[in-house]
Amino acid sequence: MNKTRNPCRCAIYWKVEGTDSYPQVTVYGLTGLIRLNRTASRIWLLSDGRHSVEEILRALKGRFPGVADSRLREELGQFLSRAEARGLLLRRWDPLQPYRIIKERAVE
Amino acid sequence: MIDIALITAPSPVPFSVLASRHAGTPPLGVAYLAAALQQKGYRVGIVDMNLCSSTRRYLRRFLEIKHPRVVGISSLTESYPNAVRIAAMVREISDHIAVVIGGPHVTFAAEEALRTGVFDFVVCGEGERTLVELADSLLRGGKSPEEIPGLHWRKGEEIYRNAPRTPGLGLDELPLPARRLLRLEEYPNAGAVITGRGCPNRCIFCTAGAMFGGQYRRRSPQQVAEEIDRLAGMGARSLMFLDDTLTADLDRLDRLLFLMDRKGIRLPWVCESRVDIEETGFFDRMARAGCTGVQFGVESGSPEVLSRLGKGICLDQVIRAVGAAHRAGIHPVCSLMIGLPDDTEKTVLQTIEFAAGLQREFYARVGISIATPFPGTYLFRHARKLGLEIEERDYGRYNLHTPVMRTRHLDRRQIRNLHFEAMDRLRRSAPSGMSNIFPHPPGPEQAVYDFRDEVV
Repeated sequence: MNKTRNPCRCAIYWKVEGTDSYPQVTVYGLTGLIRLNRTASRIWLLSDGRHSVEEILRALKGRFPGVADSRLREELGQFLSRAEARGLLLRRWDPLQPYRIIKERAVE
Repeated sequence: MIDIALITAPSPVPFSVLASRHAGTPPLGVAYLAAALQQKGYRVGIVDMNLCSSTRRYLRRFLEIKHPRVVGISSLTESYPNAVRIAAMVREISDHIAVVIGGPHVTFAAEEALRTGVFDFVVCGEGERTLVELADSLLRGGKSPEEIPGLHWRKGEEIYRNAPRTPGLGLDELPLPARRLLRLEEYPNAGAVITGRGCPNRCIFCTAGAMFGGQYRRRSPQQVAEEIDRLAGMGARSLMFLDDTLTADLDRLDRLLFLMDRKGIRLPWVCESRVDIEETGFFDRMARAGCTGVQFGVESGSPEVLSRLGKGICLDQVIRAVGAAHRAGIHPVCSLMIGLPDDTEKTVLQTIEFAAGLQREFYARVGISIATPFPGTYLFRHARKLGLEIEERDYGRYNLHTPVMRTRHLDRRQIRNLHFEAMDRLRRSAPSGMSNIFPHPPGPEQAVYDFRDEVV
């Protein structure tokens, strides 16, 4: 079975302002409103469970052609980690198993 | 070893999975199917993939150890992509297992499901008799699939559509759901009961009318009371009536409450009602009988938009019914929608204001979702006529919180942003001490998220 594990948003209340080229996202998080800057907004919009980290990275490269890959990767990783810690998204989302399993039962 | 495994597909969306676990009702539809099969002597197992303990690995082991010869998957529109994934998993395990899918989504998208190549049969509409006849056909050499009404099926590349099945059995003739096959202890609302099926109304956003032919079929109060008595004996601490509208027949409900009382059943319960309930004074009777919450489909705060939904209610009725429930001591829960065909920014703001008013005046817990054209609904079938453009075909997004269509007046981004505004407004205007239907408390606006620097 195909196991896709892409970043996927958990928060459902968010809005997009600005233009398609310069989107500005605001998210209703667990602790209140969180306003993302434009780069984070771009990542947020691509974190829909359909795009892999590599695809998001490629999109960022297109936006920031002069920036080193390692820097972009580090920034992306940090954003995803911090957003996950805030309960806004899941970094490695499996559509058949979106949440960590508390306890797996045995087949009887 | 079992003959048939029944599997409920979970939503592929994290929030929906969480919401489903929070609602925590067991999959009664599947339990009804299991009971019908057991009645005919089949060995049946159920795996509810919505449960935390039902992992991908668990499902694989279950199928490998139990060796079912037929696997039936139940799905809604939102969970359909996962139903396809589960079917593919079954195919990986064995090519000799017949894979069947059923539920409201595939009832209206049977051919599309069969074209995926992972399903052999689609059970359309009510499933008990069709699935039993199919099991007879596959496992006992009963009549061939082409003779089974309500079945769509595939042989190689060829797709066959049998005539629809008309509901024939009275609901009292069906065996009670096979709850023993479920892990009831894992469901926060294990005391779920269905007292009737279908809905006589034809709301444009709902599949119930098309699914059940506009009929509302009812079980007898005696049988329902008997089931509830057994549920109480199994340790249920509360009841949740899952009918689309429990209060459609107040005489029957009155009789049921009388019988529950006579049996000494004193459990708190919740249900859905319509705001055009025949007699709003009946909420007092319900409260005395243990009713603690009633959900109302309010849909829109704009009289014009509301009048075009085929629901046949008006805002005065909303205020009357929600107010009566509140005064009776019942917590009202109101669900509304935005992004309906005739919605403009102005009417959506009207809806938000109306919802805030219900929250303020009657302490109603309010949920605002996004109108979604589920297959089978009038919205879906007449999208063009209604000026709708369905832009999203990934059914996993059909979760009532993701805009999947644009309307004449609003594009998807506008709908999303208005949904956000609705949430924000409701949270900010909630009376103190009141928790909203949504889990997160309102909080102060936080600083700009620091993704280091825009320059990167």
